[in-house]
Amino acid sequence: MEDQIANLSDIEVTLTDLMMVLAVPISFAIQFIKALADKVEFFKAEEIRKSLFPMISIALTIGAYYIAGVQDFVIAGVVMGLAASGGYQAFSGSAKLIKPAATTAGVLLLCSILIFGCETFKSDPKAELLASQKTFSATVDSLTILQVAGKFSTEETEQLTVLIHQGQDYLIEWEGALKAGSTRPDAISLFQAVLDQLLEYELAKGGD
Amino acid sequence: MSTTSALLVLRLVSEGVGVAKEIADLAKRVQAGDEITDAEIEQARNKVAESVANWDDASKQE
Repeated sequence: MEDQIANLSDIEVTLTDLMMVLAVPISFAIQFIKALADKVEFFKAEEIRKSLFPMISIALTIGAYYIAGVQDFVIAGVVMGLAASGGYQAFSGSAKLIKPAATTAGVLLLCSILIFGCETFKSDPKAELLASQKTFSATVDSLTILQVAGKFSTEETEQLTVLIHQGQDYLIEWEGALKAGSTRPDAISLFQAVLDQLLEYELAKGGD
Repeated sequence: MSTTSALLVLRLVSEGVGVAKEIADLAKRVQAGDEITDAEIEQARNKVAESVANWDDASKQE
């Protein structure tokens, strides 16, 4: 696998498949805890939330990575724990990490990172296409849910419609190129750019 | 959080969980040397077309 690198100030952590896969249930667990905490008046204070949720998230992540036998589980747990909770907003002056994404958009983003950053999928062009088709469908489906809920303006809807049709066209082009014998057609990078833009919209509207 | 917001989050979460599991299963299959069939690609292409059509319908009803 081609590992991804995340930087937190001067700290570098190598993210493995296992760490990214574990980050998904951890993100959901944090969201669940946040939803429960919303029911208690004490936890509604922003000062409490800012410090408490990152700590819970870090503890959960370190514990999960320790049990899973992840190397350097403490520092990896701190970095991924902060990512899962969105807590590195508190470190915004020094941290250079991906945008906090603990919702569906975050999961889809992780799927996208896994597909395009992982040797597993690069080694099998058909699997890479299939995974991209599935991620694209789920992205469009969740954008449709947000659209029905009235989250997008008319202008945003028009831009999204263009991007969604472009994404579909690139996938068809990609499939055709694979059938013609090309393993790394240009359509892959074009599709990836479209998917990134769609996920940015979803992060903006579907985030917590 | 209102009931409508909670339902929206639940629908989004179920969408995310569903695809994450599919991608993880697919990665396992690739690592096991399982071959992806043309029928699977075709089925996924049809699902993409369905999702795009649903988006088009929803955006027209705005």
